[in-house]
Amino acid sequence: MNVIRMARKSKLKAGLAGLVAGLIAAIALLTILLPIIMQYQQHVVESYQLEEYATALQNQRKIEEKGLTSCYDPSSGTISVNNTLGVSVVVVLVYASDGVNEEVKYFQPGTLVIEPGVNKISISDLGITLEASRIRTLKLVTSRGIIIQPPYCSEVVVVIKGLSLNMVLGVEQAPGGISVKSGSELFVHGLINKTDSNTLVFINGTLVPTPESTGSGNMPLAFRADLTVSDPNIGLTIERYDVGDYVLMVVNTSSYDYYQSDSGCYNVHCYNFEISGKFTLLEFAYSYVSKYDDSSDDPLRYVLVNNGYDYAIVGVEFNDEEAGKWGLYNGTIYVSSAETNINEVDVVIRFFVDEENKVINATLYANGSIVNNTAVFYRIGDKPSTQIAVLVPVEDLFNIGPEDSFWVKAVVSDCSSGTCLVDESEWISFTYKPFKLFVDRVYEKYFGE
Amino acid sequence: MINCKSISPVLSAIILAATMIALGIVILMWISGYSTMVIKQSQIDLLRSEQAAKENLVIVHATYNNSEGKVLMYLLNMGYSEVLLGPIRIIGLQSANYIIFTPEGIWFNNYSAKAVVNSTETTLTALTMSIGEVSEYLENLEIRNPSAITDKIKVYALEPCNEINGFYKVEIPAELSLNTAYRVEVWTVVNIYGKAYLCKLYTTQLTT
Repeated sequence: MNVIRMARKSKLKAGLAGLVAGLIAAIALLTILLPIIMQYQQHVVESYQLEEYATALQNQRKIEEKGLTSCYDPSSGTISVNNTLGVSVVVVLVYASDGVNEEVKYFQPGTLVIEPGVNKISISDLGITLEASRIRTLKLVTSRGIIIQPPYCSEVVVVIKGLSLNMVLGVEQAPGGISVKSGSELFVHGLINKTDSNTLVFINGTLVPTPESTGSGNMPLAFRADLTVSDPNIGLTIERYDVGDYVLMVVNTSSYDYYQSDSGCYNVHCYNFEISGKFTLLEFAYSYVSKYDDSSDDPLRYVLVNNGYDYAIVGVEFNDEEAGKWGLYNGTIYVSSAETNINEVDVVIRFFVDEENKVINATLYANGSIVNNTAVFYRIGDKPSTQIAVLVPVEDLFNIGPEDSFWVKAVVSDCSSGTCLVDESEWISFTYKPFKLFVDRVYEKYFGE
Repeated sequence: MINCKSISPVLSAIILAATMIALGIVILMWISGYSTMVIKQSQIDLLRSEQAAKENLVIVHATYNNSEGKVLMYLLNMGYSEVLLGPIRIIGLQSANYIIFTPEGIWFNNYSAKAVVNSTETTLTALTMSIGEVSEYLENLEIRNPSAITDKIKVYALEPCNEINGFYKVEIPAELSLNTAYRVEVWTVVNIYGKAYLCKLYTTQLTT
């Protein structure tokens, strides 16, 4: 009995000793591990604080950017800045250029202040000696690092080179965006993408007219912006009826319609985007489709080419405005990286259009093989002339990049009168300038990466 | 006969604890080594983020002087501390006058920087720094083999504008095509443990 009791006691002691040993080991390990955990936790906390600080700074800059609107009157050499922030803004640097000469003036913080309300600043008071009427670029840098670039007071829509955009309206042209009043309208139809976040809506894509003929004079409408603005210097009314324009917009709105509407689009889904009433147009860029005139009478009127996001649009417009005449067209569009014999062209589009029965068909071939799911856009109706265009992924099909040129040629035949009339365009050179970089940059500005 | 006193429970506990601690220390040292590496990277990342969040460099304007064959950029340091101006490149224009070249074909334009105070220009002296070993911070430039970069990186210290009471002017010798848009990339650099790490990318567009 004693031996058994002793054995039990001994086991109890060993168990207790093991427990104590385990505890000592656990404490020792925790002592070593704790600093590592604490250091890691400190990193997480500091990273979070840094992110908060950077976001706060960014927000302050955005508020300042939106709260200052400005324009420059070259006839009087006066910059008008409307400060709606309610607090003074300090300007530290002014840059001016007439395209050849430039001047940069630094101001010690506090010496040049933009008070709340409308401020009129003469460029001569800033020490700028360039001739006021010749100044093309003017920039003011605030103490938060915001650059104010006043557009000319008489024009806010500018044509810029390098991007093939006919109109660009960004924060540099209309700081804070264009706030439009009730009664304004915006309509977009085509192969467009939409992204939204709260009240911010981002739209971009290639436009196609709707056959519903909702435009002025019952024209088939692809785009309409009819904006009523209180500032008499800013206003925008555009109606477009062509296949192949490109648009980018960032709109701040509380209400809009966006729905699928495939009219005018084949092999691809198109959409309508509509707003009526008050909204703010923050960014706007528009590229008109280029129309290359065919000098002969029949049946080809224009060759259509435009840039897209990372593709090109090529197409044709027929000469078919003769009353009561329905065309029956066959044709081929050749797209090549060089001006060459049409038999040697790798990318070819063959199309067929029956205006009377409103039937269209188009097939894209690359090296003799059909490229499936080719997006086709068209406009068929009594007026205006019929157009057909095709989305060509030029970067994939013949290895061209931004700023490279490609060539387009169209051959069209009209067989509606029994005999076929054939019309052939010249080779047209077109510089490919996709909007991808530009669109992505605007997108990131409002929605992040 | 059972010999109950052959091993003392206290002794066995000490041996057990020692074994557990030894084993734990070995595992912890391995974890610690790995953690040290992660923490070092994390520290670099943190310092870099801190600098990137704090610094406020403004590219006021970039222009091309056709007659002199150079790009001019006007910069302002609107932050509260010094900014190290690092490599600059004009995208789409591989200049023969590069300062770093790697087997991956990465290059930067050569340039000089001047401080402009009261319309007086003073050429800045470039500082040379070794490039940090942590390759992750060069990945966004597609430099996957930093050891192939033999040159040290050249940087210019830009003081806050209210300290120098002026701005900075950068001159990049370059022959550009006319009526063309170019994108200019400007990197700032952060000095961590005596090594240079790319910190923040600023970009601007230039139309000739």
